[in-house]
Formats: sequence, C-alpha cells, structure tokens
Amino acid sequence: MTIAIIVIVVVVVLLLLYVIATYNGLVRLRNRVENAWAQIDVQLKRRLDLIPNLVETVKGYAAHERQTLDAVVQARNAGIAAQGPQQEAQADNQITGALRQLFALSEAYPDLKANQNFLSLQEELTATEGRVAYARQFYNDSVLNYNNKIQSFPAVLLAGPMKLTEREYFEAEEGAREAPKVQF
Amino acid sequence: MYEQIAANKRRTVVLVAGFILILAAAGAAVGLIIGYGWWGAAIAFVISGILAFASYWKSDAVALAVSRAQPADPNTYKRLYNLVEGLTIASGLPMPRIYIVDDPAPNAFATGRNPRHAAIAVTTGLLEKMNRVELEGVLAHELSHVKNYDILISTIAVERRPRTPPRRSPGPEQPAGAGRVRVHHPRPDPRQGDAGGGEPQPRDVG
Repeated sequence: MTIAIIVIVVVVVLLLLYVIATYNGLVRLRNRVENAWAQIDVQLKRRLDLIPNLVETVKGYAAHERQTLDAVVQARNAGIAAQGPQQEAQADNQITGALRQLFALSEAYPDLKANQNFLSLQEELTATEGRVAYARQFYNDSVLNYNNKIQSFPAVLLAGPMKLTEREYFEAEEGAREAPKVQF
Repeated sequence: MYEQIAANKRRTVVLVAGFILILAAAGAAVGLIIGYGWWGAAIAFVISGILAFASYWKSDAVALAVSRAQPADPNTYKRLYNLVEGLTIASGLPMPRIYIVDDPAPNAFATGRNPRHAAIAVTTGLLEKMNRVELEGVLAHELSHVKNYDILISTIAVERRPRTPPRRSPGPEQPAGAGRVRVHHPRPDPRQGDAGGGEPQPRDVG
C-alpha cells in the first residue's frame, strides 16, 4: 500500500517538474520573439541615424544633385514618422530605393568616391541594410520555433491557459517585392 | 541540426573520456610492469585528466598561438567585423573574437569550445582575394562550425579558379565562395556541406 503511494507521489512530482520545465521553455521562446522584434527596430534606427551624415558628405561634392538628395532626406523623414507596420514597410522601401539611387550617383563623382568619410558611411549603410535583413530573418526563425512549440503536443495544453497565441512572420509588403528603380 | 549539435557534444565527451581511459590503461600497464601496481593507473588517470581538460579548455588559445594569429583591430577591419556582426544577429550567436593571420594564402578557421568562447581567424590573403559576398560566405561557414560545437580546428583551404568572363552572378542558392571550398576536418559530415542547416545564410542581403 505504501509503495503505491510512493509511486504516485513520484509520478506526480515528475509531472509537475515537466510542466514547470515546459512552462519556462514557452516563456523563453515568447520572450525571444519579443526581443527579436525589438532588435529589428534597433537596426532600422541605426540606418536612419547614418543618413544625415551621408547627405552632408555628398552635398560637399555634388550639391546640385538636388533631386536625389531630397529624395533621401524625404525618405528618412518618412522613416521617422512611420507608424505601424504598413507605413514602416513603405518607408523602408523608399529609403532603400533612395539610397541606391544616391550610391549609383556617386559613381559619377570620383572625388566623392575617394572621400574616406563617404566610403566609411557607404560601408556602414551597406552593413546596416544587411543587419536589418538578418534581424528580420532571426525574428522569423524565432517565430517558427515559438509557433512549433505552442502548436505541438503536449505544450499546446499549456499554451491556452498561458494565453500564448501564434505570432505572424515578417513578410515583405507587396511593393517591396519589386526592385527599387535606379535611374541614371 | 540540433541533433547534430547534440551528437557533437556526445562525441566530444566520448573523445575526452576515451583519451583519459587509454592513458589510464597505459599508466596501469606501466605500473604493473615496474611493480607499483595501481599507483601507475591512478597517476596516469590524474595526468591524463588534467591534459584532457587543459586541451579542451584552451583549444582556442592553442589553435590561435600555433597560427600566430593577432587580434583584429575593429577600426582597421571594419568590414570584417560588420559582416560577422550581421551573421551573429541572424544566428543568435554571441559575437566571437576575431583574429588575423598574416598569410598570403586564403584561409580561415574557427575554434573555441562553445559559442561563448569562440574565435574566428582569417588570413590577410583571404581578405585580399575575396569580395564582400564571398567573404561573408566563408564567415558564415566558420560560424556554423561554432554553432555546431565543433571544437576541432577546421581549416578551410579556399581554392579559386581564375575567373573567365562573363562571370555568372552568384544566385541566392549558391553560398558565396563555397563553390570551391575544400574542407579539411576530421568530422565526417559531407551532408552538411556549406549549408549546415540553420546556419546563417547571407540571404536577402539588401
């Protein structure tokens, strides 16, 4: 009789430990998704911060290229003012396009291309575009892990009471799927 | 991929345990021969244990010292740091230490017992001969070794055929620089190649 009680107690304790471990795991995954999402914004802000310096450097050599420079400034302002994913995605596309136009333009100005500041900014911006893309990639990977876990048995039993729901992937907006046009 | 990581960790344990046991057995044999019996085994056990853990703990320092690697200055090697940083963001790994080896031959290796104590070294030859996208491919490969808990040194000898025009632009499915990467390392895993499942791929780079 006592053996039966001991066995039951052990089983209950083990179950409890498993539930706790699963709960903690879910919390970790959810937090990772939140963190990954916030990190995208860090990179986006970094890109926005680099732009004024770039515009000033280019103005020093190619001040009359008003159209292109204005496009970049406007795109940056759109990026700062953007609210919500829709506007942010549009602004993002705008910035990418404007920057590409600007860098393509710099090909015609050998003095500009030789300027160390310009080169260093170009490197930073290229790297930051990469980081933005990678941050989004990491966010999507985190969402995948999280969704897998909360949809699988037995974690799915805990997910309901914990009010954990599926997260959405970051997807490119319709307009962003077309390559930004660069004109010479 | 996580099975691979778990398998590598198990193999490391087996390797280290095997090393200790073999030395202990040798010590026991010597002990028996010279008449000190189990003392020989005990001493050998202790020494081999120390050696095993020292080589495991210091594997990165050894690899770096042997190749005379110097820490890379972040200002001089901005592009290199930027590329590695981007890849660590994609993979969720912490930033490894970065070293430079002064060697005209293009080469790279990764070392370190886990991602938190990892180091990546590239030669000056590699930096000269590879463009940005190719360099990123090589670095992604090295980071995948870090992520896979591969503490053995993997040296990647990169051979590049001379380019014949017109050059095919690398499509998204071709890991940059990987077409001619010949990998020398004892870990048998031809399946993974350069796309070690889940490895940060330089995809969708702006």
